[in-house]
Amino acid sequence: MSGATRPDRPAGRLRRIFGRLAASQEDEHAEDLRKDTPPTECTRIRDCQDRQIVTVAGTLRTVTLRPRAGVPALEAELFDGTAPLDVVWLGRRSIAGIEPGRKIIASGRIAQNRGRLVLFNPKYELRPVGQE
Amino acid sequence: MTMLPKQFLLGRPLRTAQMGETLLAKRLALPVFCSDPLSSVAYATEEILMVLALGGAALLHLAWWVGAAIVLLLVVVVASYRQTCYAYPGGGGAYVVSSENLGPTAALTAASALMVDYVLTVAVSVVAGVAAITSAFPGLSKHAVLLPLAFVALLTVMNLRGMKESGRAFAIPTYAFVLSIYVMFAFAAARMLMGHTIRAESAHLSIHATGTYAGIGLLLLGLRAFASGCTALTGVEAISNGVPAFKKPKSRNAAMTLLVMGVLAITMFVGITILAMVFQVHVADDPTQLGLPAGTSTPTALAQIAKAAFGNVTVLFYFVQAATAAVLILAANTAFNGFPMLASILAQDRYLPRQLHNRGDRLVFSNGVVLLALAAAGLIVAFDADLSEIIQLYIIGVFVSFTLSQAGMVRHWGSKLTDATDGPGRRRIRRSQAINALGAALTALVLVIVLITKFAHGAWIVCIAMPALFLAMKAVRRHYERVAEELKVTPDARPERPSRNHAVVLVSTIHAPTLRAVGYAQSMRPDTLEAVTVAVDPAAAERLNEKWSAHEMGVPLKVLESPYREITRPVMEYVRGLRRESPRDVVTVLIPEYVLGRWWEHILHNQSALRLKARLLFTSGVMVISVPYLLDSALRREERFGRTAAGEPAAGESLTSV
Repeated sequence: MSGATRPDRPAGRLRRIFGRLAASQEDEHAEDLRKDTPPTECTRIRDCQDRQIVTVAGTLRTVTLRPRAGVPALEAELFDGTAPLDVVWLGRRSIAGIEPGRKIIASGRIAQNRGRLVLFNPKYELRPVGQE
Repeated sequence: MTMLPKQFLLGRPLRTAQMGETLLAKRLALPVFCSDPLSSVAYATEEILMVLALGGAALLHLAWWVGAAIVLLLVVVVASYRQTCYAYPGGGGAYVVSSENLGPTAALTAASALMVDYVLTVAVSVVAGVAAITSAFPGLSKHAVLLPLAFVALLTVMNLRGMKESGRAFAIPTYAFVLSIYVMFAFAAARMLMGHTIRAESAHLSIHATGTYAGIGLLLLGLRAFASGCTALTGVEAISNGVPAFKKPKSRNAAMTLLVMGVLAITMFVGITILAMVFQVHVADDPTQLGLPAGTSTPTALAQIAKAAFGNVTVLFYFVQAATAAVLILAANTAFNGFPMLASILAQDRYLPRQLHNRGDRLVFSNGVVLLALAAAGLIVAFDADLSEIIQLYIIGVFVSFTLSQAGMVRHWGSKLTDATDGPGRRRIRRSQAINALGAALTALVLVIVLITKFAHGAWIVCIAMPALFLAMKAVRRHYERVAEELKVTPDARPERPSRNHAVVLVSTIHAPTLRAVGYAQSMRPDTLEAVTVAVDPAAAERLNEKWSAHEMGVPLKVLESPYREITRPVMEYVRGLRRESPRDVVTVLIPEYVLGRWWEHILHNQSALRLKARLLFTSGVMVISVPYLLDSALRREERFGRTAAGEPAAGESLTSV
């Protein structure tokens, strides 16, 4: 700590420090997720194209039981630190292990629904919770 | 329960339509508005003698000249303000007059001066009143700080009750004071005519001069005595300020009251000064100057005069002291009338917070009354209730506002002159203008004298406080203008529907409030509707999910991840995410909450929804709806207070954690 404060911009410096403190938790979380992603053959969600067959890995941020046209459907939002992706299992009320905070690897064909990327009935692999 | 003491202290709330009933007849207006100038004769003479005593007994004869100058000033100021009463029947305080004729800067200067002086009026009058009490009962002098504070509190309550009733309460002491002073004059005159030589108890005390005053020094001392004596002029503007409070014909009644006040004040001041000189009253700020041990509490000049005049008729002496104390304490009431009225005008012009313009239960500007009381109490405590210290701050504000208001009146008549065409009308206007011009010139001169002689003795505090107040009021106005600018709409603006409405019900568990909130949300028919919960505890989230299906809620339940076991952040991020996707949509967040009736019950419940609500308020495009569910205790509370406290919001509400 040299303590070399620049007298001409004390507010800017202070604001940067506070900004870093405030933003850190969200950014850190995203950063952690990006690092966590297994390097082998996984696509980053941000790079996914419509109709492309991909394998993605990340954490489930939300899990929703959302009936579609009378048919139950389990919907989850997968986040890998770059972009969110909706994962939908049609015809299922619940799947053991599909819960918020869970890390999974999913593969399937990307579709688009109202401008959001969706992966219908993907093949998935639950990754262990906690220490690996 | 909370309403009962308030009703007991302040009386029943008055309807807005009952406003007219607070108008004052002349005989009531005189004590309400004039107790200040009338009562200041109780200490004006003493202040003059005290300053002159610094130069030794030889200089006391200057009191004649100083007294004469003050009488002249009083005549001119009263004459000037009578003009104002006629010209401004809607209330012609210094602020109104100068804002109409001299512009906003002058008006704000006058307003800040007046506000500072109103606070000082309360402090000085109450402290002087307590001095009159301790002169009669020296044993009480150890409560010199506590007693003034108690009286300020008493005045506050009386004024919160409303003007007319306080006018009635103030009529008796004011008239008693005037009567007692005239009885004292008569008594003294009769005894002197019978050949008695009357001397005050302090007549034998020699005065040690603190220095020799000659030439410029003598002149300055004389001017300082004059400046101290000018306290007799405070409060004259109260009548012109309060013209609307008079019964019709308002202007004539106000001018008449002002004249009566002038005659009474001048005769009493002259009489007391003559008696003080004849009885050879010797007073000094520092008792050692009179050869007394330091710390001796000396009776006031008026108390000495009364004691000497009545001789062994001590009942009358106590009567004078009681009346003096009462009138002085009630003199503070002039400020309690003037300050809230001025503050409300300023608030209307957006120079002060708008709350000061609200009329309370009893149709008085309650917030202004309370503000004044707090400021005066603070001043009394800060100055340790020392009259001769506080009085140094006094007067400057009065004369600033006098000068500005009289100068404004000169301008006012000037513009009237261009409209008037007939000879007699023009002559009348010319005469009024001349009176006001004389008033302006004299008060400006006095202001300079007061500033020079008092600055080093404490007046500098006022010279800081007034500009500070001035700048603060400017800042308040700027703020209101900025807000108004942002809120402004163009004439062709129409209500605009958001393209879509996403409703989100926050859920922590399934209970009655949740069901009500979900049902209510469905009745709103939003474009999308979902329930959201935060998975702080995965097992609980799992159970909730199962129950959700069992209750056939008909709404998808979204479980949010919370890697750091928080509630607020995941919800905030989720709502912000919805907003990011389509900025023209709105998000409605429904929060089910149960309302508790007792304050201690709140401690037992989590307040996380309250925090969340506060955060969501600062997110644009997000509406927050509370869906209340009244618990038994809250319902009973409603029954208990439903009649008395109609319209009063529940003291607090507790929220379910989400």
